Amino acid sequence: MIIACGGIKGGVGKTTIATNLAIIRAATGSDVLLVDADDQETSSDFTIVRNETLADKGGAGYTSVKLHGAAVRSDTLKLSSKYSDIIIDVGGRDTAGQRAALSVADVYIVPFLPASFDVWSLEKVSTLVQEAIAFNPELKAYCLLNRADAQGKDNEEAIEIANDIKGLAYLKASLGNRKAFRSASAQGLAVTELKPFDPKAVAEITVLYESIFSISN
Amino acid sequence: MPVKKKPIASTVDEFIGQGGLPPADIHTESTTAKEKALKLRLDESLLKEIDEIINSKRPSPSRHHWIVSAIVEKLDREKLKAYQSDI
Repeated sequence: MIIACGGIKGGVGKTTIATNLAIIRAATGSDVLLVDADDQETSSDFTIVRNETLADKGGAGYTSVKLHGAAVRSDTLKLSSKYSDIIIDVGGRDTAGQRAALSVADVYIVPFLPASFDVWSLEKVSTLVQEAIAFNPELKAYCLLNRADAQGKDNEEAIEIANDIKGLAYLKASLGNRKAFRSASAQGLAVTELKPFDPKAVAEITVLYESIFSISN
Repeated sequence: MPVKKKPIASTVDEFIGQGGLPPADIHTESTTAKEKALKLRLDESLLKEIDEIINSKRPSPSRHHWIVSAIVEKLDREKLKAYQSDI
């Protein structure tokens, strides 16, 4: 299964979601490839930290490569037979890499924050997805709320707008604005591996993981 | 017809090619016909010295402008030296 974690807005948690999914999937015994298609190369940096953190335990547990531009499509296609699952972390702009990921992904997930600028960008992503479907008819595209507020109406308002966007289904698997995600990332860990254990964060990422990996099954 | 719809890609390569370049690539490819981009490797201490001079000027020029000016000044001096040795 090829999952692209994308969108054209930066700083919405794409890398956090991509790395958490890669680690949780790899922990089930799946051979996972994490493709870093973001020129900021944050998921590659994350993998370096993870390899250091887990040096005594065999390292990251997944394979990581950097790909850019059209190679995101061509090389992912070449590597797809060698890995059970490929997770592509795409930079937050409408780049050739973003489009290449859209052209090969089975599932495309777009995180957004409960803020106007974020939901506005979903309209543009929706147009991009509709163009991509012409070349990748099996593509399934979803958006999900990330760093949801603990209280207030912003979450509901953002979800309401996201629900109206065509071609980008709203996935009921929100992640809260929790320090555990940031603490885990800083150590090269998934939130499921973090100590002390944050049950709410783990429950949220588990729902997201199960939602995504049940899409094609 | 002066106003046309945005062209729709007919192949996957066209679709991918319509995406922009990441900022790093744009920077390295931003050349005109008369300019050529090149990488300049400088010792950190030298760069710090340059930045201190730049920051002391009002208005302060860009680092790029200052380095280009320094190159032009050096070229002028070399040309003058060559001219003086010829006469």
